[in-house]
Amino acid sequence: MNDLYREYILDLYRNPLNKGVLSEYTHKSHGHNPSCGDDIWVYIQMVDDKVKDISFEGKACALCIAGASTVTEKIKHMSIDEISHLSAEQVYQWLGIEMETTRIKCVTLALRTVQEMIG
Amino acid sequence: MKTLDTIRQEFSPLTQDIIYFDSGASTLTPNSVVEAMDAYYTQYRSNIHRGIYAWSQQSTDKYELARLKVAQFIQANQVEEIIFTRGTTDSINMIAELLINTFQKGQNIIIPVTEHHSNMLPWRELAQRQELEIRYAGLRDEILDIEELMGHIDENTALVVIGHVSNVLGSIHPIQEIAHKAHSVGALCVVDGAQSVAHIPISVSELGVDAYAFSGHKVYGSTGVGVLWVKYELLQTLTPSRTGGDMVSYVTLDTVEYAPIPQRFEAGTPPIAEVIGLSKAIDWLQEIGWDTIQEHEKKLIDYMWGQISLRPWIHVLGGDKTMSRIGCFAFTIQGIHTHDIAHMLAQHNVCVRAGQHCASGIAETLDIVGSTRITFGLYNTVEEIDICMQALDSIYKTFN
Repeated sequence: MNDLYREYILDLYRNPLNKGVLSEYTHKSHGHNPSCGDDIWVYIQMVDDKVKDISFEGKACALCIAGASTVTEKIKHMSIDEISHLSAEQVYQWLGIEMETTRIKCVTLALRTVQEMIG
Repeated sequence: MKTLDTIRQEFSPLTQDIIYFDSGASTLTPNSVVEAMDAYYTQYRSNIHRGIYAWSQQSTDKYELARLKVAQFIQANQVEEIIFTRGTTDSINMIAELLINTFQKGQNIIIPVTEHHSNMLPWRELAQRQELEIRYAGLRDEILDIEELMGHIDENTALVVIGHVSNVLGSIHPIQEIAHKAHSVGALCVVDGAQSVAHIPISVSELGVDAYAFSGHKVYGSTGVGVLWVKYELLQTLTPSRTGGDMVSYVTLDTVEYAPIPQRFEAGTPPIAEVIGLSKAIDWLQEIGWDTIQEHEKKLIDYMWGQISLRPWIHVLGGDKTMSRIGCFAFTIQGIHTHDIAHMLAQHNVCVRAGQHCASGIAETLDIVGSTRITFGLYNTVEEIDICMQALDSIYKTFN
């Protein structure tokens, strides 16, 4: 069984990284999963086409919150070009879980929201 | 006489190590129904109403026998009141299409917020086109506020639509009273019976409604077939909204004469195998009998309440134990997202539904993301409830 709910994921769900609204941001975008009900907002402060700071807030499942925590943490200081090349597989790799299809929309909601926002 | 002890053996999928608690979405299909559909494809595969050969006659006879069985199953006054469709959603869209020109600007439609999207969106679309007012009936104590619904009905009400049973809350609504009130102001009453037909005996004539819709796949039949029952007197006033093959008596380049009711409302080749399957599913249910069905369901419901009362962290939506309900429990657990619960139950081989269950009005009104829903079929057992509850204990422990 693919242990999607291992302690690392649950810890990110209980204590999410980069949760909240940035005091200053240049970009803001909404992400929603109709099937699951995940609903998040992502805030980015872009400077010279690079992410200077990023945060998210919203109501979502454990996998979505864990995914958003990891994505926001990993893409800090990345360029628009670097972010545009990130894949779903990368997010699963960061989280240390096996790629699967049932919850891919949850795990990658934050990444998709960021890519649509700055793409 | 069929007994519940042997029923599980009639469902091939249940030989797997799976607990299926999602019958509200779709019931499993007994092997006898699958065999009846298979026989159509392997022994007398042909179209209905048109061939002059034996196979076609056999298909037509089975198809029309199904109509009779459905009419008897829901105690319709006339067999001609039964129209076969592709499912409940199709049935409701069809009755909305058929009724659209009977409504006038300024009239209102009453819709409970508890409705499945299939009994809400077709009416919203109709209301927009005909410039009708929509009046939503809300919730009280997390179930439909019948008093508010009744209060909305006035001399400008053209239609009251309502689910016989909520697909989220499991609550059985007082259809007879609502239809009576609707008729007292000259309004029609259309009922979504998707969640009721497998659980409670239906008599459309006693309910006194004008139209009633349900699906084959929620009553142990197959997907792709549904029923629209419409009172004959009303059907006589309606013009077919869908035209084409098999619904005409006589056509020239300038004229058309429609076939008699109900054939005029069944344009094109219908889902023949699925209708035959539905007929067999009704036979199957009736062999078990309503007393046995309801006794078993009550046993599961009572046991479920007992287990839930041991776990105060489970919040059942509309959690009134005295409420008249079917075996449908939608619940939330503080701090655990509904999809996480469903996914982790799936990892324990327990199949449930999560989300808003196509009835977003309930989640919106209660300001919740959604709920996890357990729904029972005749093949479920108290032992399965025990396993599910132990899985929920484990999930709760993992998150806390």
